[in-house]
Amino acid sequence: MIRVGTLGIVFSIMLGILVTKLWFVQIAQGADYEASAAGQQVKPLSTVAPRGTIVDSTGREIAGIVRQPTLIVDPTRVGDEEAVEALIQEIAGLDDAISSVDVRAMFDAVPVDQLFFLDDVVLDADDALFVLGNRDRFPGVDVEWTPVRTYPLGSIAAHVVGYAAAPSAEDLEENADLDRNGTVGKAGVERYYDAALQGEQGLRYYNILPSGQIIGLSSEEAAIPGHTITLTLDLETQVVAERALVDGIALSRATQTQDVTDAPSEASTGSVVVLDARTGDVVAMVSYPAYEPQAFVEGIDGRQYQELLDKKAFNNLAIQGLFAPGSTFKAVTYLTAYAEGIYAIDATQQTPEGTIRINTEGRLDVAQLEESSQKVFYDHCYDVTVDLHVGFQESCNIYFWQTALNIWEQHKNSDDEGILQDTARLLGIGSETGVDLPFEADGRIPDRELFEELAEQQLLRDEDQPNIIHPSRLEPGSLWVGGDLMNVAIGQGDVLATPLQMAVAYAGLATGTVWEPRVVSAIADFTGTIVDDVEPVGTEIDMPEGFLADFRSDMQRVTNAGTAEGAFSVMAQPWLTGGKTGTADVDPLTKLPHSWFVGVVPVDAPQYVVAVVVEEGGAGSAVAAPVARAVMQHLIGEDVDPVIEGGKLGDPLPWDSSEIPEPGDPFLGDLPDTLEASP
Amino acid sequence: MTLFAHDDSRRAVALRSDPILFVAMLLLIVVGITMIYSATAGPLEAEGLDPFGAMRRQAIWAGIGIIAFLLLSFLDYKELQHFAWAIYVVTLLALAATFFFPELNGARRWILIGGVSIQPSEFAKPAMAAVLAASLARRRDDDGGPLTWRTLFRALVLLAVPALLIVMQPDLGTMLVFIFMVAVMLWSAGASLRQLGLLAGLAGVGAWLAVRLDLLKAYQLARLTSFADPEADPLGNAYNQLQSVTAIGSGQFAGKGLFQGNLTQLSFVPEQESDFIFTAIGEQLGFIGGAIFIAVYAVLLWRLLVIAGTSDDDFARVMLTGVAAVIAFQVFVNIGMTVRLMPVTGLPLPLVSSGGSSLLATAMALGVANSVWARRPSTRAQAQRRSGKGMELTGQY
Repeated sequence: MIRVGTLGIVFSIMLGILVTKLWFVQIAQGADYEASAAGQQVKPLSTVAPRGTIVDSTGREIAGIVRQPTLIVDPTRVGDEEAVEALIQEIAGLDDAISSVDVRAMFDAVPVDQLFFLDDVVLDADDALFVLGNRDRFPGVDVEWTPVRTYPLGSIAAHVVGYAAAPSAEDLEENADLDRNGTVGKAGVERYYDAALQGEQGLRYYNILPSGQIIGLSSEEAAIPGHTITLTLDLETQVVAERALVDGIALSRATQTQDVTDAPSEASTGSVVVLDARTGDVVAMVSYPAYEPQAFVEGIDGRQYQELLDKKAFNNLAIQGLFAPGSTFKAVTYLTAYAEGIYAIDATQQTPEGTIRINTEGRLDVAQLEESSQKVFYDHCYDVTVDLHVGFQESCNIYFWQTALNIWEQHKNSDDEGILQDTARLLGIGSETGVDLPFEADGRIPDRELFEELAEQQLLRDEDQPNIIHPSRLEPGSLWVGGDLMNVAIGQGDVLATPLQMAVAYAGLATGTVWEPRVVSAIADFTGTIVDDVEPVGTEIDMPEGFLADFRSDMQRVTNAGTAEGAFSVMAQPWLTGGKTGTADVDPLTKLPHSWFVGVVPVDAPQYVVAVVVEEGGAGSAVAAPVARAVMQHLIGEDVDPVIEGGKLGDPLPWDSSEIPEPGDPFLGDLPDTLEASP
Repeated sequence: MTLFAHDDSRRAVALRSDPILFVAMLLLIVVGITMIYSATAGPLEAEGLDPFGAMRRQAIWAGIGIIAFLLLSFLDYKELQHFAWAIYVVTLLALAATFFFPELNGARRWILIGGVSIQPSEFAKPAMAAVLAASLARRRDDDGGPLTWRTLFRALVLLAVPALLIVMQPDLGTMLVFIFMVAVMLWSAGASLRQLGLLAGLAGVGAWLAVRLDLLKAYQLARLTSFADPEADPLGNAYNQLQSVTAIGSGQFAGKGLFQGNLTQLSFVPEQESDFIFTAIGEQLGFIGGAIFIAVYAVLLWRLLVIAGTSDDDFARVMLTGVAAVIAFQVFVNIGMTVRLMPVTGLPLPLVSSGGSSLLATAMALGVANSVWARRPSTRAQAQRRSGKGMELTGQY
């Protein structure tokens, strides 16, 4: 039929036009298109992986992620030098803290033709909208929502959490896998668990025209958020401990003076550690003063940084502060005496076995000491007959000196000369506890070996260097003497320990298990699947029979009838507590002693160990003990009595304690992941 | 037709099928599956997905399409005329159903059944060809004069309802297919040039009024003038076309070789497995491949017109010219779009573009064509009719 035939002609013409056009495109202009196609390329740009979040044992987020608008620049599509200059001015106008010189430096730091982020230009959402709404003023610029670290709780637990910041040149050199646009943990858990928190950066391939124009996304490998880390910390206990410590420092300044000079206390630093005696979990770890980790996200200036550095704000005194433990160390001597059956012996032999009579002057008879140790030792205990229990309760130095002398008498120059030190080491004092935090200090338990080493160093050192040990030590027979052991027995002399070590030691003394303490209990990937359960690691100590009951009861006597009675008497149930005060001399003539308290609660079935030190804070019973008491009150659910009137302990918690903490979504899916480049 | 009614067995249909039509269809389907693999394997693999995923999906649809082709070949196409009203109602319901499913890329064109998304407008194209043909076809005692005005307007009213639904989706590309289809069908149904001219004039005035009276919103106008649709417009049509024509041009005479198209494989060309599938063909197979590919469509259209012209049934003839019009228009607009001859529309390349609905609907239409061919009057019958009555011209072409 003609009409159908007509359609055949029409369709033939249509297909003929297509083939003709195809001929023009592929044959006539094919070479041009070929050249143009060859100029097209794909440019990669890495995308930052959201850092894993950190939550406390109740799930409360302490380090999270927010999405922040960040400028992404393709220098090739900005335009000529004039356009680049204009753009730099526009960008500098977005952020008050950034000058055009800074922006110029950022542009210059990037290899030619490479896409880059302007991380240091801090934008808010309005700025982002402004940029997107005024494309003509921002050629070659797009806005990307990049994940940024946030520390919603400020300085709380700052030393445990630590902080993450942009990687330095050294960081990048050390770890080739680091994302230069990302972050790296610099301190605390952020540093120790950096690998788990990092996540995996994504990669975007953008299609770029020969003109340099970004014309779209070719392909993308999405970034994988880092793992979520659950801390062992309980943030409520942490806050109470932080405030109690601040109040304790204020109390020290208000009440303590130097014995000789009468100068008032200038205490400004201290630490509190709360350890779960059943697991080694760190329930709270305070170091004061602290810092705001957020400052490192937003950029900290040199002056601020120096100020914090001078205040020791970056030091985690709980694991890095090395203090003479003073009388808190007497617990170690206590265990040694109990285990070895070596008690103080009255030189006059006129008291029952294991007890001594302290004379009316409180003076130690040192007749059995060698010449080099001859000194007069005085004690605050006098005109009293004491045994180990009373000696511990009242912290009578003479009793522990006598014990040390007895050890010395029995074992000097033998293989067993170091039994006291060995007991200390067994309890974890003087060496790293193995806590999962960076930069832990080891401390020191002095003995003959150490002094031999020091003497050797002394002899090998340059003449103009200061002495390492007193030159008199180098004389024959005076390198390590009985008096040194007497010092060790009361935690003085050269004994140095961290608050965490003392907490670990007391957990061991109170339960028979020495834990490797930990601040992280679990690591989960972003889907919530646990990838690493950090199991508690403990070493059981073979305690002498009867020791645990006796030691617990003697600790209980300290807070109920002994040196710490005053500090604990405000409690409703002081009998649940036990511990030991410490007043550790630093320089008896010019400085206040360190104020210590280490205790256990509930003392008859130990759950928590609380260790408190206020550096150069004065008497342990007057400063550290009330701080520990406040923390213990919180731990057993008592109303917390103030450490000092009008102190911080009365403040409300920084969050509504009834609210259920909700860890942030690592994807934050409701925000735009990216904004397409406009053609 | 009564001549071979007794002979209407499967065997007879198979023997009388159109092998050229079937082979042309198979060729296009195979090329489509191959090019979909070429265009999607790289990006899918980069995302860590199965590189054969898109290809496999298309192959499954192709299998369903071939089965549908065979089934409809055996079915007597005249049933379609009898059940035209049912086809019409189902088409309207399916088009209306899209409004109860979520919007995708700014349009509601899909219905989801058991996780499979179906695009009713694809099925509406051949379905409306059947419905309109049933309405336009003359009775056997018709004197063969010009189409009555009444018949003409009945057809237009029948088309108006689905057309409205399609405009509301919105799917202006399909709307244009309908316009071309109905024009071709009216022509083959015997509408006079005066009638067609008048309709074209009315359409022109209507469009002019719509623009003048601001009945079209600015974006609708932009869509109309650029034939754009939101699905095909993620980054701007101009860019898509520039990328596409660059890729095709760079293929030159012989192409870069199958699976060697670096532009299409690196995702420079968007929608390269669906609307822009010809870009991959042009880049990888070159002018020679592209021209042969278009020639296969020419063969397909030739067979459709031969079948239409051979049939002594006015319904079959009008319907198959409609089907041919749909395929010809989509091929022209789609390939024209990839070489910057036509504006960008969301029209697929029949049998080739990724997408099950389009493939299945086209295969079904071709199955019906094969059914018509299998039931064509025998040469002997034609000769008898020609010599006997000399009036029936439908068997000639």
